[in-house]
Amino acid sequence: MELSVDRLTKQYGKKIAVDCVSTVMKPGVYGLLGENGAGKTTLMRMLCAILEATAGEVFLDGKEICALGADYRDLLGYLPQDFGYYPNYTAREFLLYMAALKGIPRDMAKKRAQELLEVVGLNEVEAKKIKTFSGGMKQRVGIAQALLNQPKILILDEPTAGLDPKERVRFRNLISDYAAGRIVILSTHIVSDIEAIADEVLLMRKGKLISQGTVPELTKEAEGKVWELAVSPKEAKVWQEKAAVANLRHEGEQVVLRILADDKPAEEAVPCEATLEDLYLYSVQGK
Amino acid sequence: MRDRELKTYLQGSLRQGAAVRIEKKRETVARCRAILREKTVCPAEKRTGFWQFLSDVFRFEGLSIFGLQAGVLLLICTMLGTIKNIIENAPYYIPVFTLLFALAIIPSLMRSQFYKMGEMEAVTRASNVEILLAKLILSGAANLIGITVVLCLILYARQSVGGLGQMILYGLVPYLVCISTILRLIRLRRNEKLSICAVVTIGCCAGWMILANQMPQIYETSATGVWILLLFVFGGFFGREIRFMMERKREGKGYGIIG
Repeated sequence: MELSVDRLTKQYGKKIAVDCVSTVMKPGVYGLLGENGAGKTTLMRMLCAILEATAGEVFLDGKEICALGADYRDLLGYLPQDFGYYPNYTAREFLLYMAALKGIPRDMAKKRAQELLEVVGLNEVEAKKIKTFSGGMKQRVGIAQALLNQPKILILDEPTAGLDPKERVRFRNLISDYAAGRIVILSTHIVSDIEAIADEVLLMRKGKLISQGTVPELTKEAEGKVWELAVSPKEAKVWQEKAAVANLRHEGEQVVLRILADDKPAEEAVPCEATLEDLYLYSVQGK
Repeated sequence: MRDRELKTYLQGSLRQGAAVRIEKKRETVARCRAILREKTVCPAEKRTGFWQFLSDVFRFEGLSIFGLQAGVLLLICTMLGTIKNIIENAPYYIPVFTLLFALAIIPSLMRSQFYKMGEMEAVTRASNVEILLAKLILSGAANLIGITVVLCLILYARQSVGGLGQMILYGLVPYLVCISTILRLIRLRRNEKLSICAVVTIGCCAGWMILANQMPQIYETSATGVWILLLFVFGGFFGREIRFMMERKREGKGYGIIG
């Protein structure tokens, strides 16, 4: 199975939301990283065929996805970033409703809804109305509905938003287990989630795909550009204005700054190991 | 398709020589493994057809669709029972009655947009076109039942079936005007959605009431030709909207307001 994106572009008036993105995805977990407005959601919506591209095409095993129609949607699981729910449905009814729209026969739908409610830890509240759920619980219902048809291509837009750390770990494990032989594309601002589960990372900026590779490959790009510098609290404020500071921590009287720069920012600065977050921040800052 | 491809490939390999060629054998094994792996990941599952889907939509939406129509029917029955001379002047009121029935289907047609479910539903096998079509079929059926009951009540009260054809025309034309406009608004992805559709329908109701008061001659038998012409015109618009929906379904593209 191969999902190939060929010069995909989306333009809203003069604004280019996605700019000539090309990539090929094979089974594995793909993490989409980029700041707000980088074009991640637009790209995902085009991959789901719910948004028409201004130019370019998406192919699944050489066939254009719109031409595949229902057969493509049958392979697809999607969790939108900002999704709603019918407030009067219980979690179970909601999953059964979504299963009906996905064309899953009733018996199978009941069985699968039960399984998924257990997987996302909502089996004890399955008879409660969704409107009574917390944000994290609603998010878990959303994740469960995306998995109902056992999709071969799973597209998750900000799936960990609103989940507490324990739920995030549970989600990461679920996706890692699920991803075997499937294409999973997820976007998030939580870099550690992507570091933990993504086989490959796609870095987007201003609608363009600026980097693609495995986590070690990408962090290599940021090597030699991450420095630590211990300064006084007063100096720290000056540094924050004049340099890209990824992090700061207090150590006694001093503040240790993590600075992203091509060259050594100060004599006392020491190089340190780059992380994906460093690369992300480095890219976001337009380097 | 895959099985046939594999069979052709294997037959081709056999025809090329009696001896087993190591390279070809390895290739065959690799292809078989890939196919098996794919089948393990996603075994071909049974999917429901359109009629089963329609029955499922009825299961989840039927109560709200038919409940609202029953509410409108009750309101109209109360009007028929309380407003003076309404039975005698029924032809003037028929357009308003059918528009009230049309007004009651808007919440169901716009429900997914109202609750921000459009995007999630559009990615399902059914897609938003089929969901909208299913809701239209169910709403149309509910409208038909409601309008038939109202017409039967009027005919019973009048003790005559005279003018039935005209009354059907007086009901059908404004109904088509209203439904075509709602479908057009959905197609053009107007985000004002529910409110604008409601305004259109209520506006139609008011317009027809004014028309009945100001130009009663259009309800005379001599004007039937005009009504038939209007039926064809707005029937054409309605047909055009349905054609657009079918085209989008065939092309596998999204339809209307999503997200």
